[in-house]
Amino acid sequence: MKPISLVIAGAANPHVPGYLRGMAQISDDVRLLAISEDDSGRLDASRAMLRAQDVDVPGFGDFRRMLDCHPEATAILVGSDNAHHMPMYREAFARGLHIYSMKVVTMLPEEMAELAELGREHSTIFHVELELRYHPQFQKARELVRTGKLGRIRAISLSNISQSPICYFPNWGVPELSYGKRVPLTPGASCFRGGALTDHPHPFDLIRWITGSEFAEVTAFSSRNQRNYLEVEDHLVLTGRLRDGTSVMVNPSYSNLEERGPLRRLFWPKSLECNLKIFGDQGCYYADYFDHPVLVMGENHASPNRLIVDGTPRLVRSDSMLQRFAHRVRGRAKSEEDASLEDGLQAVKVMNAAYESLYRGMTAEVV
Amino acid sequence: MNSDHVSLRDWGVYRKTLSLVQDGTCGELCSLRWTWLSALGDAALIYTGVLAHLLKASEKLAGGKLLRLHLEPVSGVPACFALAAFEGGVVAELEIHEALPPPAPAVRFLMADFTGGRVTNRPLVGHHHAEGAFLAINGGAQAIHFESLPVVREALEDEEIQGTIVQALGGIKR
Repeated sequence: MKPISLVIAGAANPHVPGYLRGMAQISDDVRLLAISEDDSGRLDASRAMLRAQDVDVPGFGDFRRMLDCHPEATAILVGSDNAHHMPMYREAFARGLHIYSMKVVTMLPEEMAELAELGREHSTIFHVELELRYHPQFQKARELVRTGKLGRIRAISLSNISQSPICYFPNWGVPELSYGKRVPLTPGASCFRGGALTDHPHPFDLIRWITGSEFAEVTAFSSRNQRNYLEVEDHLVLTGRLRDGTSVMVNPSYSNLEERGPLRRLFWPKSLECNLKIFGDQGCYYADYFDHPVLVMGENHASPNRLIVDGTPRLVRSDSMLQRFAHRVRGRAKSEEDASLEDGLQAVKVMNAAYESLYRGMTAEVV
Repeated sequence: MNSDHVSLRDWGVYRKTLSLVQDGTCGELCSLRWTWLSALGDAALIYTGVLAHLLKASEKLAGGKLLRLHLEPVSGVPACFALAAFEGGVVAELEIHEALPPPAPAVRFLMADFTGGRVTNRPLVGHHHAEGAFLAINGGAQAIHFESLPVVREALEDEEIQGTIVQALGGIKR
């Protein structure tokens, strides 16, 4: 089967380098045509990553010009800052392109409404990168809950705690770029929306996906920042209730400290704590993102000469998320793990309710 | 060696964390995470006992008064989530479950995040205590802790904290 023809619009999202570095390995499924990025430094760095694996494609400073030059493209990977997603979506919908988008799609309610409308009007595939759904330990959680093996679910707690990427992706700490505008966390605060919560839609998506129930209300608290140089929040924790009555607690913070510098170097030895606990009438289930870890220390490691907890490849090789997207573009049916535009928007509704709760100092309904 | 009861105040992890807070070893305290799970807890003491003791300990670590408390009771079981804000901008999250399915081991974790570091007894990977010894014999297996995990067997006699909890409970409409 022919590979899909993909263009990449924007490389501002910290996840984009991972896709660039893996592009040669998925050439049977994805043929990259071009990449655009309005920051010339990021564009050069991105093209260098591609050339390092013998993928040499033209680079553009403007995504519309890239699309004009490549009418043969069938799909677009949107990897810009969150604030720049919307013009790219509009253009992609207008040109009939299938969309593979970094999260979050947008945090602004007016854009969310427009995006939902565009999604209803067009039949193209819109895949949101919500990657935790593909991990077997979280798929097991869904199976246990959906088959009733844990009995009635009473409570769920889920952490999504990482290091802050803002030192090596400074754009991630600019409220206008990450959240879309400058909104103080609380009235008069000098810390703004657009930090750890905006960066972590996964727990909200995962809880919806596992239980099949939507969030009804949330109450959020945020501590003083660990990093006093950030303009955006690095801590937030919330409790809430799903429409089926399940109580939840979610911590989506940047509490794992890192070196302050231009490279991603961890201080805390684990990049991500993503621990899930589900309590039912008939049992409980605990899962950890790092369920088969190794300990690494190496002088040439990305975090040199430091003990690091790292994951290991799965025994059974599965397709990458971008390959799965390519299979769908070529006609394969949507699988239950694939996150849609609606999934992306629903997660953002919960996150915005959390920000509202924090701002008002009271419980906020998720609408 | 293996006493049946360690009070929270005497628990080594809490005492060590408190001393590190007071020494400023990790900078200034920002947030606390308590995970307090047990199969054999006393349901009657969940708010006036366990929660009150954890809040009192949080207040001591935060070095400032409790300003705001939000409770999320879990329906049908003696469990709750709680969020607490203290003077100075410290926030504590508390996860309490006093009736786990009996094979599930008790868990007592504290994580304290600072401007310049972290203190915790939470394992790097997984959900259970990694410290202590492990014994497998005659087909059974058990972890052995030479200092027992702390339990709460009494209500906290602190009118201010109790009053705050009662007020928070009164605010829950369901």
